[in-house]
Amino acid sequence: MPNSLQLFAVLIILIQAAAIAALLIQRTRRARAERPLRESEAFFRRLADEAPLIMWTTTEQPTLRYLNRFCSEFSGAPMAELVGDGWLKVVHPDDVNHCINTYVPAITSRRPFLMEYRLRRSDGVYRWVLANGVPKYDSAGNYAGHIGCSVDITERRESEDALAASEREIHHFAGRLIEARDAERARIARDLHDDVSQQLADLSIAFSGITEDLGALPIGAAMEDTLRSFQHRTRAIVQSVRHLSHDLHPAALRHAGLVASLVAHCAELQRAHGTILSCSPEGNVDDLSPEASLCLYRIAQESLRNVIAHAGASRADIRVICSGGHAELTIVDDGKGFNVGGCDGQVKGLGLVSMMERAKLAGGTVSVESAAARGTRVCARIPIHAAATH
Amino acid sequence: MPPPPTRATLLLADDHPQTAERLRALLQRHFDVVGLVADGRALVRAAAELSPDVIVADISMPIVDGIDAAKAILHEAPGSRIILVTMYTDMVLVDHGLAAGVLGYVLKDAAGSDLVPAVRTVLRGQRYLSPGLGGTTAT
Repeated sequence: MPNSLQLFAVLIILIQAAAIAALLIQRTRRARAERPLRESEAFFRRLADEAPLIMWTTTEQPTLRYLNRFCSEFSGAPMAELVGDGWLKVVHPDDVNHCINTYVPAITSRRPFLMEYRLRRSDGVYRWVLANGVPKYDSAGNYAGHIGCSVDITERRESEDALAASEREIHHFAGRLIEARDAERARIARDLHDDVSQQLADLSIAFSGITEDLGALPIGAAMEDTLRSFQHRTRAIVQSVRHLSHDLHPAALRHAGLVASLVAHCAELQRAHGTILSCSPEGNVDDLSPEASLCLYRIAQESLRNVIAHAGASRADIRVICSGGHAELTIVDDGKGFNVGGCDGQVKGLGLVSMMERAKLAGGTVSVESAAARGTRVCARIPIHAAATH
Repeated sequence: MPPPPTRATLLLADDHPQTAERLRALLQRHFDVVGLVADGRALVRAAAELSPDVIVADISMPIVDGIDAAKAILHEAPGSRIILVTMYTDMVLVDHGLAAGVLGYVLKDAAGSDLVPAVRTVLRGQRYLSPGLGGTTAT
């Protein structure tokens, strides 16, 4: 029996030797297979460390595995402190939540993501950076974490902010310009009415007084004709000044209200141009503030100017509706229409722009709908108690 | 000799002193101008005090304008005969005044020829509109 025991022991030893040999062969094979991978990883890191932007990779979990040297240099923190979740310590405290809410779900669901946030530079200044991350896969197609880069976009952000600020400023100035122009027009109209017209009227009355006195004298008859012609000329000047003053600022608006003024304006335009114009109110239009009345009157005036000058319309109808604290003015014509949005989608024409600025100033909006051969519909909606902004 | 006919009494309102004097001189030839005021509130007060036969008022006046003053006067004394003198030719204003019960509208620059006939017309209880206003507004 000892023989069979010895044989069994030898067999065991041989099996173990074979197993060890197999393991050694396997390890050598794996090492050979992994070498290019290790070399490529090293190559990537060497490349990444040279790159003048932040580069990073994550594990399969939303946590940083690797950051390039540039990131350490940028933030002034050693790489060991930044990997994992350490990098969040150099993110602006106001942006930390935004970051977590962006990259965690993206990495968890293996989606690409873009993320703008502020990162503290080594000098303590926060800089805006844009991180762009995509999922990466190994040669077998297994997900191997995200890879991405982050670039400094502070200058772009600053230009965008400056652009937005200057746009706000332009709107503000456009509003002020309308207000200033309205105020100036009203002042000139008032001056013309209260001063120039009054003096001319006075002169006209004086002429008729003299004419009457002269009638009683023997030499009067000849002089009478001259004086009458003077009076007529004076009245003609009064008429011109009156038109000028009315065009500058409609006095009727203050005395008779929006609808009556629009009705009169429509009648005047219809007489002069033949386009059939109507104006109808709904609701209590008398509640409109003077500023709201002027705003809607000017918008209607501008629209009617377009209807007559460009639309080739046979008729246009104006409706003023007051309800729920808002006034709505709608002007619909049956003209040839036009392309509202230009090629860049912006509304063309200074008239439309000024209408929109005016409505905006009163806290309202203007919409313009038009299409070729389908007429135009302008609708302004503003609060009935709109007041001047200054 | 029959006694001279009694002259009608007028109350005049205009805030331009020069024009006011000119209108007073014009009207004084034919009527008795019993009062001259320069704003709408004074006009309402004077109208109640003086009860003139005809009131001649400018539309553009400080404090209370001519139209609002006319409305107030007509509210107190519905039969008042009021002529508005105006630089405005807007029919909308004329209609507005007529609806309130104003009897006459005279264009200020035509006052030299139109105002005296206007006063005579409203004294008979009829409407008068300066020809420059179109004169065909619904009666």
